[in-house]
Amino acid sequence: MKTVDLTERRRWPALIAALLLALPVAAQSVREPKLPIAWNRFYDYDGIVRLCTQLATAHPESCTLSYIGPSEERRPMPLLTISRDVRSADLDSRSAMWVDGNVHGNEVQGGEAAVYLAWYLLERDGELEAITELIDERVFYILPMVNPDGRQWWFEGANTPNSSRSGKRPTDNDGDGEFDEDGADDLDGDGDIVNMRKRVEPGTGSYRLHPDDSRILQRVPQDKLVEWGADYVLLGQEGFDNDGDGRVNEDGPGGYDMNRNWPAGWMPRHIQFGAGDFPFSYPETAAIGRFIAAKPHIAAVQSFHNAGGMILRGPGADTRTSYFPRADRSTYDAIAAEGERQLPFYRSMVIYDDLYTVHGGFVDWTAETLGIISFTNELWNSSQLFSEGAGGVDVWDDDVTHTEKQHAFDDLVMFGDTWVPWHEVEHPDYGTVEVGGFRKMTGRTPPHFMIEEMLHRNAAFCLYHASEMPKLEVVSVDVEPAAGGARYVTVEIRNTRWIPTRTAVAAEKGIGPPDVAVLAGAGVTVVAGGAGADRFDLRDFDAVEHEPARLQLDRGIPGHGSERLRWIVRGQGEFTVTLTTQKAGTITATGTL
Amino acid sequence: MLPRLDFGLGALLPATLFTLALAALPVVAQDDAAPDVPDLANDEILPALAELVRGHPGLASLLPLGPTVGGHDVNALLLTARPQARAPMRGWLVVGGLDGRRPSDATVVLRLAEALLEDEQALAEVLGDGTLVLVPRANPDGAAALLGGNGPIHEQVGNGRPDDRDRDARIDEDAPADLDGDGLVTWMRVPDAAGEWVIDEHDPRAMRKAVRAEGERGTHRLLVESLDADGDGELGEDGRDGVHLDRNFPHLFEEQQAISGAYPLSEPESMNLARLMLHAPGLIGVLVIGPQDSFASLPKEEKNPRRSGFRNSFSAPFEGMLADDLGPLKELQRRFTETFEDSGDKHEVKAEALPGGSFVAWAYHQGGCWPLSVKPWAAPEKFPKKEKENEKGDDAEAAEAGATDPDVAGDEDDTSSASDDHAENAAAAAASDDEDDQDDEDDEDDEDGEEGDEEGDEEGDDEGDDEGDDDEGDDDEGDDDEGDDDEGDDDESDEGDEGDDDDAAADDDAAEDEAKDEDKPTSDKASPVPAAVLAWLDQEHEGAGIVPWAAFEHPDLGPVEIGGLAPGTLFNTPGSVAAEFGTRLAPFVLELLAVMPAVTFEDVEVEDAGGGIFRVSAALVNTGVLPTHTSFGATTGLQRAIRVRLQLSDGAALLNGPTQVLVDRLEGSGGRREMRWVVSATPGDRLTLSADADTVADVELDVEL
Ligand SMILES: [Zn+2]
Repeated sequence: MKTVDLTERRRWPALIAALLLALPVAAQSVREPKLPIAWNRFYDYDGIVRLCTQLATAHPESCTLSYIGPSEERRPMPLLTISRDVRSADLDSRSAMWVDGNVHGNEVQGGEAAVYLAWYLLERDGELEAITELIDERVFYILPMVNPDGRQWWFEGANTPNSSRSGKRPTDNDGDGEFDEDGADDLDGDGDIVNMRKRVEPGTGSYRLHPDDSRILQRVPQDKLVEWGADYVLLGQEGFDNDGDGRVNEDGPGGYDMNRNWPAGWMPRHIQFGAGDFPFSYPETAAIGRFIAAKPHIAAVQSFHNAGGMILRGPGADTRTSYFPRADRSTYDAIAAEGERQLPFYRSMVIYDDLYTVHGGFVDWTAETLGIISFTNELWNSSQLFSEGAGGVDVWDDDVTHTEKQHAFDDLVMFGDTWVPWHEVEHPDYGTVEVGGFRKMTGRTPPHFMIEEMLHRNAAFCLYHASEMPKLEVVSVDVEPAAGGARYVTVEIRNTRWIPTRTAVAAEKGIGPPDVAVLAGAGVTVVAGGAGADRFDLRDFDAVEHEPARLQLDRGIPGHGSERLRWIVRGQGEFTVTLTTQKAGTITATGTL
Repeated sequence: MLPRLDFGLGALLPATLFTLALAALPVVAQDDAAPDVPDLANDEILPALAELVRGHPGLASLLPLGPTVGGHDVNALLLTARPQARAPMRGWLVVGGLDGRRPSDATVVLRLAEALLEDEQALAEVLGDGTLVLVPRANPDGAAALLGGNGPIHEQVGNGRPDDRDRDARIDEDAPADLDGDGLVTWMRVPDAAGEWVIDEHDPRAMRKAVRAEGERGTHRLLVESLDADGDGELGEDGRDGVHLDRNFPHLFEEQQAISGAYPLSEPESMNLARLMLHAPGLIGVLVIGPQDSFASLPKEEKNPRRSGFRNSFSAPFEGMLADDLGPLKELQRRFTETFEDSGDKHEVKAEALPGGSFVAWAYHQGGCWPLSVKPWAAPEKFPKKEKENEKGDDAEAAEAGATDPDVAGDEDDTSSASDDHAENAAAAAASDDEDDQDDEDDEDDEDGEEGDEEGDEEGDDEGDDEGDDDEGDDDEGDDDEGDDDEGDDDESDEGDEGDDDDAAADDDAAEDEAKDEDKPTSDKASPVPAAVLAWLDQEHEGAGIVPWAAFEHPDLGPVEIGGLAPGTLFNTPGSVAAEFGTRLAPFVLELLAVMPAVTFEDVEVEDAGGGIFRVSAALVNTGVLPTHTSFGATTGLQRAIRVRLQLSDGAALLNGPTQVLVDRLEGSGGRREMRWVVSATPGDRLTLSADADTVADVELDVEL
């Protein structure tokens, strides 16, 4: 059995402290990165794989790269494991954090956020005590691309900011027996899918050009159509009726949602769009499910999405509130409150209550079925484009439309980089139309120069969450005389972090095993034992009826709390108390009778 | 394009396996009259199927469904007369033995297959290009527990999946055991004034619960034959139950219950069945041989189908069926009853209410299939009639002819009081016996429940209350499961279907009849050793299955008695009954094949409007008895709609009307959808109408203008 030696000093801080003494002071003012990576851009599938490879190569002692999957289109899914002595250590004895991103193909920055976290950990290991400690004591499993096919398709295909969340398994979305036969079409071949509008006889349309900005269409009220001479109709996104069924763009690539494919309150398609045929029905979700199920020491989960600036926790549906007992809500609130400080423009929210109902979401599964404290962050909030009042645009003014703000930003800061001006194109069904709009890398993703800030602040939130995984220490081991020659042995074990060794939902729903404390010694006989021992009254503890040497702690050791265990023993010699937990390793205390 | 996987034989069955199967052992002899038809061993099923394939190469083939957790194989028989093996699979799926305690289901299914194949010609006619898939034993791991070869003979509802049932961080460490070395895991009765049980005054070998409300105090505890192997004070609390496959399907799956499995379709056995349906969405219905019975008690109607904001979608799973789908189901029930009456069997069974996670419910609620289930037999709850009473009874029955029999179908209260619950009730009761003071309070609640029951009529006596209360004080997974079932039952009776009043009246009559006969009390249905079952075994089977109580010195409990009933006695259909039932089922299964939907184009009219313009109209008509889709299936969308397309020869052009129509559903027996087009063409041009779908065969019609 692997035990945590509490007396062992952390080697790295001491070593680094020594090094720093020897270095010239100037070295701190210009820090050369060990592995320089540009964080002002996005990377396609191959780019992310390359970064992961570089990280693992540069840090072989503390980082390994493995692959799970492959995806529907046979792309291996790179997974980084980060911890001290990562190849030799018994990782199961350390609390672990799972971090992933990009389950939705178009929500690409989750991938960079995951890689940035890995990079930052490895980059500052040995330099910053907090980071060094995390690598010493914790394990990070980092999967940048849950949906590598969707990611690659978003970069290489003609797409919008919103197309598409899906993976690439061909799916019959319109029920006509054909698969993916009518997606959007890049009519002008410029690599962007934007909007189509068409000019019609004045009074017969439903829009007109904005009087101050002809790039913007203004909806005309029903009773003003003739008076205002409404002369434009909107025809949706670029595309035509590929399959001749009278509908446009109704069955594009894929057409499902892998963040609805997890076995926690899973519902079939007629209740939850995109759910798949059954939980884990996609190769990507199945691969992740297998990996996580085999790593019961995972005690924290973070999933990166875009957008809106949210720190989300479950439940995903109002029928699932019993999976978030009060004690766990306190843990979530404590961590999310710190996150709101780390992430300006982000708000802590509850999925079903503040966003919308999600059946079978990933963090629903990790939180509700596996009992792990789990967050989803929606990265990037377009309110960040302007801080309040800057550029003459009040970000909180509802009268200024989102489109107007986006135009102002594109004009003032991006110099037209993100806008496709309206231009005429021949359409097979509609004749001459105008095509134009914002490119895909707007709205849900930050402009390039704001990417790094987004990545770092979200990594900071992850690191805080990771540091709040349970951490145990022995407070005291006391031996006191009892009547008749027996002795009381009292051991107090403390958890110095927010997350308990067993969450309340795990205890209440019977998820995973309870923590188990065993007192053993060659010359020792255990007469009675129990937890919940009183500090002063030796006779006061919750004696168990059977197996007094083996105490089951159903609720584990609470966050920022302790558990006092007490036994009545006979005999003499050394004894050991071993507390085995699934989420925080094993800790031992010894004493002598 | 990725079409749905094809389950044609060519794709699935390697030639070598085929040969192996054909070369295997001879089929087990069947003898309808023999009272002792043995349950088929796991390794007898493949040879039996292979024998049928060898005897009927034109119709029958083998369909392997894959290995189980415990390393057995599940195999199916595929019957079809379709010319090409790779055509879509349209038809019915018959599944037996999902519940490990019911190895006899395999006898039913195999006997059914044999009976169907006896008249190859008749079968081929109704099959057409349809298919019938028969799975004799879906859970061989569980069956192995009763059939030997997996430790002492014991009841195991689930597959071979290990688990930590009592959540003590130890897996399967305290299983029920064969203490007295007779090869069977039976029961222990322990003299104990703190127990809830007494020896039944009708039969000293039987046990019943003490009626505390009437001042009767328990004298015994009743426990599964077991030790406290892990020293935690609980006896046999973490055994090899495995995952109950019939709780492992997604619809209303009960999470965090070890018996349900880690997640929906976590088990290879259930997944392979589900894939059969997901990949062959032309399967229009399932017939499950097991503890549920859709003929004895029709599924209830969904009263409140909440639609969500999206077209064709709902905000919550249904518990019942859509009213549109209950009509055809009633018709199937009527045909079932008819074919069974023809065979002289009134099919009076009390069946289990539909549990969460069941296969048959999932087949409807996600698969859109007709959800049929049938329970061949239930352990008797009443004492067998003695000779003279028998005569009297016959008279009474004759007098009653035409009236609703209180025991039969439709009485939801009654059917919910599942005799399958015998042993689990007892296990729950026994477990609560063993609990501390806290639970004694709960036990008193039980009494309240029982008191209420006692005051009611005996037929209506529903141990659900009793059992539900046990659950509250009891953490045992299996009990929770049962408790939930009963909650479901209560709902049913509360909601009150149309039939309820009639049934209740019938109950009252029956209660009066019974009350008059003081010598014939009902035995304790919740007991794992019920007096009525002992009496029946004595009378019909010369006492086979009864294990006499024998004294035993128990290491944890001191002097006890071990005995009661052999494992499986209350669940498993007696072999001869199972074989007969399979034969009787055959005419009904032929009906199922005969009533399948089929479409054709009718009333095709071409009107020359002059100037090279033609008006074309046609109707797509369902000539089958069943609708082309269940109403709910048209919503779930697993089975796609019928796609109707119009194609014109070169030179002709469509002026008006759709090029494609998706028809969600056509009612049975003439349900139709009319369509119209205007076409520009020259005489002699051709137009082609086609319809293709999952649930009906493709049709095509060529019209010359
Ligand atoms: Zn997302």
